[in-house]
Amino acid sequence: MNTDKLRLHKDEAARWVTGGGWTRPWSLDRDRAARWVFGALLVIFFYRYFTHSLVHQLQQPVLSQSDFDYTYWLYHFTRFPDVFVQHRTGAFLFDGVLLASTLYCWATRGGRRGIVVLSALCWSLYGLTYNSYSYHHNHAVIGIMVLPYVFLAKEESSFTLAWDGMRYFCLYIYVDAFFIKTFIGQNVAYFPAGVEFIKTNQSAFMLQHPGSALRAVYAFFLTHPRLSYAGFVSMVLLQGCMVVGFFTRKWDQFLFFIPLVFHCITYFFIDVFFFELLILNLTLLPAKKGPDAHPVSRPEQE
Amino acid sequence: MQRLLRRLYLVKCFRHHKLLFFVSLLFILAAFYGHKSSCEITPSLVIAMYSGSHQTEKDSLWLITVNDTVRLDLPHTIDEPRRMMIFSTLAAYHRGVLAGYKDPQENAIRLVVSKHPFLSPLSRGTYNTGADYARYLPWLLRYLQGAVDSKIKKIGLSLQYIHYDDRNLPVADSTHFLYEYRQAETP
Repeated sequence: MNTDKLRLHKDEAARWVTGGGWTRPWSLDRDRAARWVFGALLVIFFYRYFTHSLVHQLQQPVLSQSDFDYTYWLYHFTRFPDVFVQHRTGAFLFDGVLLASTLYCWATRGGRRGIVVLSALCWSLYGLTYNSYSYHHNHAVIGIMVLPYVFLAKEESSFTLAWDGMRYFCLYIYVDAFFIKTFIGQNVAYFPAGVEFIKTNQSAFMLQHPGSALRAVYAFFLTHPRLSYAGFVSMVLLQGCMVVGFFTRKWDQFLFFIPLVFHCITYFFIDVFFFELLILNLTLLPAKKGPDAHPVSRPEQE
Repeated sequence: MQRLLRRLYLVKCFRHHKLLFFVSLLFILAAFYGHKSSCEITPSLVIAMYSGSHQTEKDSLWLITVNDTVRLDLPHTIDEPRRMMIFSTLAAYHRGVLAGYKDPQENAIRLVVSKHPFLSPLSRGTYNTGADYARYLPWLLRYLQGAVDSKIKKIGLSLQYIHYDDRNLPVADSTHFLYEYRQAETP
């Protein structure tokens, strides 16, 4: 009896490690992926509304940053900002289209390709607008700028390929951060890095809220540089772990939690809000298989 | 070996979806070029998110005083988009003012365009002009009225200089008042 029980547990553990346990209840087919992606975009839209960063809330901003990023050069070349950022009516119209197209795609699960392309373009332009006029090219909006395009795929095989591509993109972002911090910037070999990240990002908070409990926590880590360095190196290694995803999907169930943990830690210590990037995490969820999976290629809804 | 090659993402794309193959290839080439030249190429590479290895001993913080009395305080990380619109643009404005109401990037962009004339049409609007800097403070007040409080009529902008002590804790040194803008009275 005990041997049978042990075997059952072993089978269960093996099923979990090989990916078998990662199939319910959150596995995705195209319909569910569309619902979740456009649902997440709606949440982001309202988050942006409450933090006063939708295009109509920017109050026709005047300073923009293009740097030497030719994507932004192209963005300004199209004269999009002249019409939809610098004019109040244009800005309202843009935000209206952004909301309506996303809502429509959520409701129809990306059923009409014309509206999907409109929504995807609007999110790309929104990301470029915000990054350009906030004067900081921020990674957090990169996911919302690219992910909606996968629902332009007509056939199941094309969708699967595009979704896989976004999965690799998600992995690449973290692995590239690991690569840059380890080999190009060589921050990992720099002992004060942990303290530097905390102190430069939290100095304003610490000075303006001297009685806060959080200040005491930050002060503890600043006065214990070994601990801060260990935390920093752990975070970089955690990002590096995402490289496993390039070779196998079996570990996606664990990789899924790495960005979650990473962004929670950086939110707390480094004062950066990267949760919008987690939309790409959806690509690490398993594909739904079996008879209950909806067909991926659907006729255009009339 | 052939079996292994067939499993590669790019090979699958090439066999089944040529457009996706070219988009993926373009993305990979852009990422390589970005790493090689240290140039950002959105969305392939966004370098601005990574810090270098240097020790900061002195620093400065922007302080915004509202209506001569209250200091603007946006301490929550979740407020990042709004904070970025205020403080990141303010730092950029100050850099422009220090450069004589000129975008510090302007000369570098002009140099690149003169070397590669085909980029000339694309360079329109890629740097800020003196007129943009002149319109900044009225915009900042307008944005604060919309994003923080409609009762804001006057803003004072100061730079607080700080240093880090031997325990890495920030210590305020001095505060320099730099800019002020008041909304014009309407009769």
